[in-house]
Amino acid sequence: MPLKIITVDDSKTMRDMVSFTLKEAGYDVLTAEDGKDAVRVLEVNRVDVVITDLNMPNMNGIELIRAIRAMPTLKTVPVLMLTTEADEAKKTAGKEAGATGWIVKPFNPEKLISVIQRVAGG
Amino acid sequence: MGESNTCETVDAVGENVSAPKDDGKDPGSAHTFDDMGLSQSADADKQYITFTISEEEYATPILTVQEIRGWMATTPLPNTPAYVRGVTNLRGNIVPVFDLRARFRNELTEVTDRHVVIMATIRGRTIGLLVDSISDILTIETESIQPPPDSSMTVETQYLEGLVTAGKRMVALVNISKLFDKQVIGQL
Amino acid sequence: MMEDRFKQTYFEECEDRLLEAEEALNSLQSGSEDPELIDMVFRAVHSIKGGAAAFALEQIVDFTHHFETSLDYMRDGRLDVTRERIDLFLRAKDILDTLIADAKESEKSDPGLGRGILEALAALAATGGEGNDAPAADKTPGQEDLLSSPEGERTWSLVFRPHQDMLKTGNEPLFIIRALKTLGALQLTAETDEIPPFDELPPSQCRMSWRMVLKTMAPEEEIREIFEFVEDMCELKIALQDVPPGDMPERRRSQAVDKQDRPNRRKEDRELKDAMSTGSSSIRVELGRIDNMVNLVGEMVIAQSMLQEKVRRLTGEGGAEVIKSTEQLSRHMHDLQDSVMAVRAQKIKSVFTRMPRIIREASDMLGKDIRLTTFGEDTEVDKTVLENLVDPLTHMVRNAIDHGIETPEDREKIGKPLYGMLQLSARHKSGRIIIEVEDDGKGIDREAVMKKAVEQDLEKPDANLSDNEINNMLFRPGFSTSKEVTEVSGRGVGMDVVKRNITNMGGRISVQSTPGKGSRFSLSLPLTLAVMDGMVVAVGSQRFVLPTINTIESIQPSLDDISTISANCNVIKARGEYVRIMPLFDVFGVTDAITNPEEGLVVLAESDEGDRLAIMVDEVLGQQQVVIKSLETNYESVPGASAATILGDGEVALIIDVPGMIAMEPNIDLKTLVAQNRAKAGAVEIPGSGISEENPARQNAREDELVSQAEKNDG
Repeated sequence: MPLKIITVDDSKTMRDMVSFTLKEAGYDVLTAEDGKDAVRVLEVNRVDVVITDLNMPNMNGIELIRAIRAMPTLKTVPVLMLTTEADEAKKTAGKEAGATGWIVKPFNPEKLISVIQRVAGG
Repeated sequence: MGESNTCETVDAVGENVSAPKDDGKDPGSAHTFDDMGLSQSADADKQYITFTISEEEYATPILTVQEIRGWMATTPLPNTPAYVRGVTNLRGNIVPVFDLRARFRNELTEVTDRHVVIMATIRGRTIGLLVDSISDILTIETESIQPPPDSSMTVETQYLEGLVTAGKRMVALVNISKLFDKQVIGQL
Repeated sequence: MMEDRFKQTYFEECEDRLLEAEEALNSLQSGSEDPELIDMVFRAVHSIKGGAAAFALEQIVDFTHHFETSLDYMRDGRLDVTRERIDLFLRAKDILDTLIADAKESEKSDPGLGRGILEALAALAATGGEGNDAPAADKTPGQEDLLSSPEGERTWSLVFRPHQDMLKTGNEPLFIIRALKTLGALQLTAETDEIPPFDELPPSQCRMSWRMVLKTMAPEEEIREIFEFVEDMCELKIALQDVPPGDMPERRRSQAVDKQDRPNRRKEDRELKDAMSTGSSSIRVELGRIDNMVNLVGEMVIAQSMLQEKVRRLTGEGGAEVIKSTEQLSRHMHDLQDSVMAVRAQKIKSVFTRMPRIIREASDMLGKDIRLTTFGEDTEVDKTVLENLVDPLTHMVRNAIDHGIETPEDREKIGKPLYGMLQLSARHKSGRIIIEVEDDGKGIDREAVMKKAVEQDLEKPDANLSDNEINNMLFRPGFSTSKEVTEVSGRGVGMDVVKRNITNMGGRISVQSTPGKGSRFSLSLPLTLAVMDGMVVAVGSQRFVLPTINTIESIQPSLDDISTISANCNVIKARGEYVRIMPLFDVFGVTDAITNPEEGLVVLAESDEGDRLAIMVDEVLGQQQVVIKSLETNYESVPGASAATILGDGEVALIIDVPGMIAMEPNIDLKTLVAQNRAKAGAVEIPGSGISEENPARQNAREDELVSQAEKNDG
């Protein structure tokens, strides 16, 4: 069974690019427009990896990561932050919230897949 | 501090000859070399400190002597000759204490407050020598040293360097390093 | 192409975002203080930048970079909102409009477009970042690929020790290791010694560590990249190893970069800068001065414990306060002691770097090809330990080359790589340093060892020994398996000497071996030879110190638990096995001690090999850290004692040499002694319950009391 991955981004461009890349690589993909939306999706769907943007309206990425870590079934699910920022503070904040790692935008498709393999094994 | 058994240090031999600490449980009296008339200008390598065991007087070069202390508690060591009284704490160093009476005459010293321990440094090691008392400082010229009677090469004479007369007394010069040399001890 | 399919979406989105940004900036310009507004502008610019980078619109990326940074600083308060700045942002937004419109038409914008604005933004970003917090420019993928052109296969040594809570971030070591395997050939050694028993294992914690040797064409950045999410959640060391032994160790070392403290990098950078501005961050100090300091601090610790002992007896209101203050003083004192000891600590590197030369010489002589890999060169240990380690380690390395690793011809025959792998590793574990020497040679030939042991009369031919027991025969005095005399390690003797050196330092040595695969010798050593934790026991009027590391528990024995197995040898059943009793009073000839085991205590002690001994004492007085003082400085070694120490009252106590004592034969039958004493005293039978907690002194006191009571009654 392919891994199921959710991509959370308020930018449609990004969402489409990520999900296109993932689908090409054979993964199942879910999408959400912001943190709140993602939480709703996650409440009913089991996923293997979460990829989230950080700057989003409603519920931002950091808040989403905290919410995910607080969900009993998602305590150790790999969560990747999608960010253009090389800002250490951002990464630190994300990691403190419980993020597994990050992907720097613009991502190169191969890199995205290799990171997913690294954190989810598949 | 400040009691009478603290004593000054004497720098006659180019290094500090320091006195025991007054730690309140050191019953022995310490001796200052000043009391014994050692002048700073004296030719240090010709000077000997003399000590007594019973009626006999012995001398050892003053350069080997670090300090004189009263008797203090020693921790016995197992399986050692009787003259090894044990080890003691000399300002954080573990120092063995040898009973010279036991070494010379095979009888243990019954320690009193009047007995003293000479802390001597030989070949880089510090050892304590339990003796009855310190008696004098002598300046001995090499020429005045008579060889020990070699008619009887007894064990005893192996650690005697020679004899000198000081006034009416006969003083034996002891080579402390030979005194505790394993080979010599082995012959006992 | 994929890009084209999304470019259109991107430009549409950009237009929306720019509109949002303009609205927000206008609100701000007209005086609104809603913090959400800046955030909105930031998100817009941020999003435009992200897409621009994806489509390689470099001009937009460059322009948005400082724009975004300035906005970021403004939204987190590092930059104040001012009319001038908002004005600058509005004009920047206008430039961005033009840049995006040009890009949409696939036209190149004027390279000079908006340069003044860009410079103003950069200056603003620099102000907000105080000159050193500005984010580094994002790398474009192309750049990275150019930097990391492969240059042939190289060998790397990796140490990966996840912090316990790494799993909580969803990072799974297994996947990381799998990812490493995609880079090349990976050889793994797991460190499992921190894993608690299964029923105590917290499922959410990682207690395993790994040492790895990776052969790969991949550059270092690619290896590091695999750890990029966890580098501050683990101890990670990556070092290039692919230099022939002895060649340019400096170069190799300089490439071993410890990234453990990555989050503090900025602070360290600053500290480094500070240090550099004053010339140098270290000074050379004569060792004698440090030793003097160590001694003085040792003295202070002793004086302090003396003071504390006296203070404890204080009563009354003032007492408690004084006690509290001295306890504080005591803590500071131990901190001070630790700091002073740390000054003496040195990296094990200085010993490890001697090994390549030894390996080169030995392998040249024996016609062997050896590759050395080292781990944990930065592990620190006291200088004295380090000095005492050189000879044993040298010997072990020579032994591994001489007896462990096969010749290239032999290796080829059995399908191993022609060169042998030798691994040296060091790490800290529970206040000790663990050093391992591992080879991939032929392992211990246990049959040959056994045969030799029988020949040398060390063992009976029918002895049924475990693999481990046979391995440990290598450490027996005079034992040798080598068939011929070799110049490298003599006659193969010497492991007994190695072991003696190690145990003299309070260390342990053990060996594991798989035939055909190799051997691993492990050393465990104290981090310092200056202090240790000890149990102070009383025997008559004397006191002794038992190293805490060797003690298991103290038992109040009953005579019924004790049996006599041969003349002058008693055993006691403790923890399911019979253990010999060694009465300290007999070993040290203490005449005023308790001789009846029921009235005293036995301390169950264990050597590094797991050999046990029940050491009989009068009573246990307490646990304390003691300063180790050599007896050999001014005297000579004393059988049964490894060293001495100075107790709180200034008196000297001997430190018991547990392994040495295990090697001794007991020389007294306690049961007979008890019977004799009873007969002599014509004493009333003491109930055999053995639960007497009284020591004889107290018992005597009570008897005296009874007597005086009787006298009073008489009178």
